[in-house]
Amino acid sequence: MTHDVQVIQEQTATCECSEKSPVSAVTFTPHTNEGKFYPHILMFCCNWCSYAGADLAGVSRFQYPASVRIIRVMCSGRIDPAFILEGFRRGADGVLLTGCHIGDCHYLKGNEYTRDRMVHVKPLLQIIGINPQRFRLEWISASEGRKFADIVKEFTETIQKLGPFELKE
Amino acid sequence: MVESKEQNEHLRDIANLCYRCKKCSVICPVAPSGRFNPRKFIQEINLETPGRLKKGRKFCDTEEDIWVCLTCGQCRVCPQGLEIPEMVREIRKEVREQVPNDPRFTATETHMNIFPIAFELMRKNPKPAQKQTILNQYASIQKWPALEMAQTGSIAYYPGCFNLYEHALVNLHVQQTLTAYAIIRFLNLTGITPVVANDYCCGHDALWAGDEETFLSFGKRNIEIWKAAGVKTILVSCAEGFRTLSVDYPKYFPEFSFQVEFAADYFDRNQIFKKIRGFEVKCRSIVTVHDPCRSGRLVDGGHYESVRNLLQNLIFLEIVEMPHNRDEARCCGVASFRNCTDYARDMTRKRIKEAMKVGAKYIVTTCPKCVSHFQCVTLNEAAALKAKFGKDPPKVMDLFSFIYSAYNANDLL
Repeated sequence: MTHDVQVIQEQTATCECSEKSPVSAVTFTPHTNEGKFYPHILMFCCNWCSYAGADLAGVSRFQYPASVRIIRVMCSGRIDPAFILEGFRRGADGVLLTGCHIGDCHYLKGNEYTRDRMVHVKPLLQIIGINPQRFRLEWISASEGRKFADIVKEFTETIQKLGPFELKE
Repeated sequence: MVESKEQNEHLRDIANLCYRCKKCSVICPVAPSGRFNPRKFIQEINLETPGRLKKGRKFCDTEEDIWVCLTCGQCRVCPQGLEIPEMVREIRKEVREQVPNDPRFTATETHMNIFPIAFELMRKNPKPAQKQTILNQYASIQKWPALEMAQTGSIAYYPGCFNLYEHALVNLHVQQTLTAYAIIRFLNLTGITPVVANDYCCGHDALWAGDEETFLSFGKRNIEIWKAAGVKTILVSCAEGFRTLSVDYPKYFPEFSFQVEFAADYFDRNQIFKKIRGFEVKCRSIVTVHDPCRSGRLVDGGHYESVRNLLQNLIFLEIVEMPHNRDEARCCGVASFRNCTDYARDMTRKRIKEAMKVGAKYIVTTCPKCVSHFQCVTLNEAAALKAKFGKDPPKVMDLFSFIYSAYNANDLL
């Protein structure tokens, strides 16, 4: 199994305050091995809880599939629905968004905004013709290494059942 | 020069008709910003005409920022009949071909560029959205009666991009699904079962941003889908969709043979509300109609009266007119979800203030984009508007969602 992952640097205008800021993102190439489909899952982890949870899963040696590509953000509130669509556009088979439990946010209310915003992501995927099961929002705290491994395993299985997400020119 | 052949000769011939009366510059809402001026724009086209002053001059090198133009069509007052929005569109296409990553173009991105990404995904995704399923899911969540929709038939309702804005612009309450539900429900009540096909976005935004490729791909697929469903008449409730289907589709696709009708016109002409048994809806409120450019100035014979006639069906409803209405209606501020600047928001604010001055409690329009832009200002600046006028800013609703809400509650204050 080879990992065809490529990190690309791109200049994108992001907001009005800075003219242009560099954005690096991960692109995926189609990926099957001996007839079995290994999905590419884009995962957003918040710095304070879920990323620490991922760390704990690693330190505790919990086994989970090597299907996720983690992008660390300072807070799950940073994630805009556009990022999720952009992930699909660049070839992700599924997008997993994780953050602190409600009430535990390092920035007090960041994950509450995420929760309210992400209610609309599933209908948004539906209208584009993407199966809404390809997106999932989960809360993982820094002490939940086991939960992190379980969610990644479960989500990978879901995506494996759904098959690859393919775009045609 | 190579460009002169590729360039749209016809457009440049028309531009020569301009006799610089400056009528367009006076009426243009973005001209005072100093970034775009219709008269100067026409002059720039004239300058690059072969045989004129500067040979082989490219439009993208000029100072006029065509991406600032709202394409609102207020400049159609031109005594020479120049269609400046159409010309801007043609030039945009040229500029995007010449300079693929025009920095002035990328600077106009809004909403984290979510709409172009969504349209690209729609274009490349072989699986279309299941619109009938989504509508019936919505009905079951709201505990409203399920809709009767056909797969094939002669009359179709085209929901367009459907609930895309509703879910991409969170918290703005655009209520696009409600509009689609309302129209199909009213048609069902009069015994009509419209076709709701799994069609795609009409490609309006892509076309006006100079991306003809996306527009053509959507159009081709939509026409195939409608032909397969045996459709003859297509009802469109969205102003932009109506303009695209009735004006641009016949122009780009010679095989487009469907009759396109604005949903408000159809309802008015066939007296749908009179046919519904027990349709005595009270609505003690004051409403004003905002006429979108796409169903007004930019299509022949603006569709203004049908919207007002439909509102007359509601008992006790008072309809007031804003000083600028019908052909002179002011722009909502942003077109095609591009270039949302302070200047554009100021225009939206002006329009809302106009509505508040005539005492409207509701602004009713037929364009989901107008709804989203007005809602953005009324919801985010409610406190400031209340401090200035001493009352709450008006609510903004689509025509059919307004009528359906009144019908459902039987009194919308």
